[in-house]
Amino acid sequence: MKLWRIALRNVARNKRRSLLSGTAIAVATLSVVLLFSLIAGMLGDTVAIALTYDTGHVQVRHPEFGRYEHLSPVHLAVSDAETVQARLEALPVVASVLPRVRFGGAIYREDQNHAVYGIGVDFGREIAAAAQRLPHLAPDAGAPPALDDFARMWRLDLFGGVLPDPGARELLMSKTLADELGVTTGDKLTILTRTAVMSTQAWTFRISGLVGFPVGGLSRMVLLPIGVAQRFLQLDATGAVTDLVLYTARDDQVPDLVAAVSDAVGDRLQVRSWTEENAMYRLLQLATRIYDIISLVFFLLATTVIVNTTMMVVYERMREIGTIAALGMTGAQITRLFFLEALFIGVAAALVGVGLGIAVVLPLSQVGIDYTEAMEGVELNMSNIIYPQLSLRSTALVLCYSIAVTAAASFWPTRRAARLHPVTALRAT
Amino acid sequence: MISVDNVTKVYRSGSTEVAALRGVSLQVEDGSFLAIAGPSGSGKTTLLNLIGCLDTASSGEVIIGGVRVSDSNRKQLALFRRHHLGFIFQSFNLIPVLTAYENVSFALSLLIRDRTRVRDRTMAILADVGLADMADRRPGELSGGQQQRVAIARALVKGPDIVLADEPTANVDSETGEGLLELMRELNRRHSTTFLFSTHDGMVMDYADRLVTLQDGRITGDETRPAESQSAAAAGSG
Ligand SMILES: Nc1ncnc2c1ncn2[C@@H]1O[C@H](COP(=O)(O)OP(=O)(O)OP(=O)(O)O)[C@@H](O)[C@H]1O
Ligand SMILES: [Mg+2]
Repeated sequence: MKLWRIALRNVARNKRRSLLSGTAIAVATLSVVLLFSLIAGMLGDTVAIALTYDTGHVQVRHPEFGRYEHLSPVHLAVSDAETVQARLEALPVVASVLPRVRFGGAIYREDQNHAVYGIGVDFGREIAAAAQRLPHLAPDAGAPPALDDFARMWRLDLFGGVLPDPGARELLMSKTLADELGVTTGDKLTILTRTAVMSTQAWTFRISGLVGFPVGGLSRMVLLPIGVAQRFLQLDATGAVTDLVLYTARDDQVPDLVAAVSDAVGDRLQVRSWTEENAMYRLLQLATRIYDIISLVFFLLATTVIVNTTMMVVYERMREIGTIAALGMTGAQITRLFFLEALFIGVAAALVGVGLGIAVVLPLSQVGIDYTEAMEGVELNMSNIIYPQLSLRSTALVLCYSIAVTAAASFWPTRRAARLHPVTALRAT
Repeated sequence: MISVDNVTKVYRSGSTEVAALRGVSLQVEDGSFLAIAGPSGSGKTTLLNLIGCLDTASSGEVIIGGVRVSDSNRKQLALFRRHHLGFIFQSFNLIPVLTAYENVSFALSLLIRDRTRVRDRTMAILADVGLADMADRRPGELSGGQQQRVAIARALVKGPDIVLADEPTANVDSETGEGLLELMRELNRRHSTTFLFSTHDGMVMDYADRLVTLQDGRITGDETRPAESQSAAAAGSG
């Protein structure tokens, strides 16, 4: 008769109690799996947003741009961008280089000023570069740039229209902004901006399409062809862009990319990677640490249930402990018997918790959790829909962790069982 | 050979002290069938616990088969019990989640790893106590007498030197008790295992070949019975 078989039968002995203490462990495990996958989803989302809209893997820009970023300092630009771009494209570690022109402006309408942020992009290049990174979203090879391909890769919701004509004064506008302005596809409006040479410029653009941006912080955004943006901001004379966004083949090559790009551009330009100065990313990393503490508290709560159950078990079976001690079981063997019992409950419950966690997270990672209402008016660089991510590593870690916590928690009361004096144990009723 | 030499046992609980044994000396020959009688609280269980290596004496010595067990630590005592001693309890103390067979084989498997040997010896001893056909029942599905038979099998399966039985017949009716005594007497003869009982039960005393009387922690009587008087007593009460 193996000890573990006796322990297993002891688990079944008081089913309701075993179930109760198992439930505590399972719930703790489940909650932690959910928390971790949610935060992984948020981190992944932040990374995706940063990769697409902000820095790419690495961003090259004027060293002073960051300092005056809130003023949209288009004069702090990367001049002769095509040369720089060609030099960077020649680096083996570089997968793609995308020129961008970021600017701020105002739309005056019905006695009110409305702030607007614009990015001039090369729609064709953007689609091609994103197709490299996200092959599963890639459009058919050779297809002309189309709005729905672009939207898929930039995670935009579509509200009709087409991509702006590369040479025309046309733009894609955030649906939120369009609603605020009371305009729609086909309407025209005038944007006022300050150019690279510090003069004021007002151009009238036609809205070629409306899109929903994934992040509240992007709700005042317009996207227009980069050539048009360069002329609008008077960057065309120097062939300047505000920044170049670079991608490498894999996320883990980013340090190599940073090194190679820094080498190539010298200290004339700033090279920053996507994790650097990304406030949201930092915030989420901090949140991860807070979640670590929360999960610790969850496990501690579950632990009290385990300790309590094991203590009750030991107390109830005093005379049995006396009997097996009389049969010649040593203290270590008695500890093992009760420890195995607690461990069985712990392992089963942890597996159930992780299993349930996977069962809940897997569909959610497809459907997403809609935060739109909660995020109303909050301008964070995080999507309104979060897709929880199940990480094999962290799930396995949670499983091991919860089993280890169970084991540690039950060890102390089982030691007590072994330390009981056999005569005292036998006298118990 | 059990040798108890001027043993005392004092229980302390807080400020009160209870002297359960006050200088007990006793020699028990191998193969004895010895009963310890005496009023409640006289120290019978305490004495059995000391000989059974479940407890240690406050002073004096207990030597079993040449081993001075009064000097041993807890683990040594556990191992000594495992190899040399068997226990029968007043309220049977079977493990409720194990079948009759498993209760017996479990005790043996602490000593022997060979599974076929464990199985054969368990089945043999269960047959000896007349429970071969109830091997798969759990204690809850057995009568008190049957449970005590399983306990006897459990105590004897490993072929111990000494079996200690604290009031083994107190929780069964007298007819069943007598059956148990017959069984133990027979096993005692067959394997020349030493049996030590504590009892209030006159019938147990009748079966014993030696009767030690305790009173207030001291031995007040020690009577060896001639073989024919025992069988006569057994026949008379049977
Ligand atoms: N663990 C203990 N702590 C304190 N006192 C104890 C303890 N065990 C026994 N005693 C005391 O020691 C004395 C002897 O007890 P013991 O159990 O040996 O008597 P007994 O002869 O077996 O009695 P009974 O016939 O009722 O079983 C009693 O006065 C009892 O109260
Ligand atoms: Mg007693």
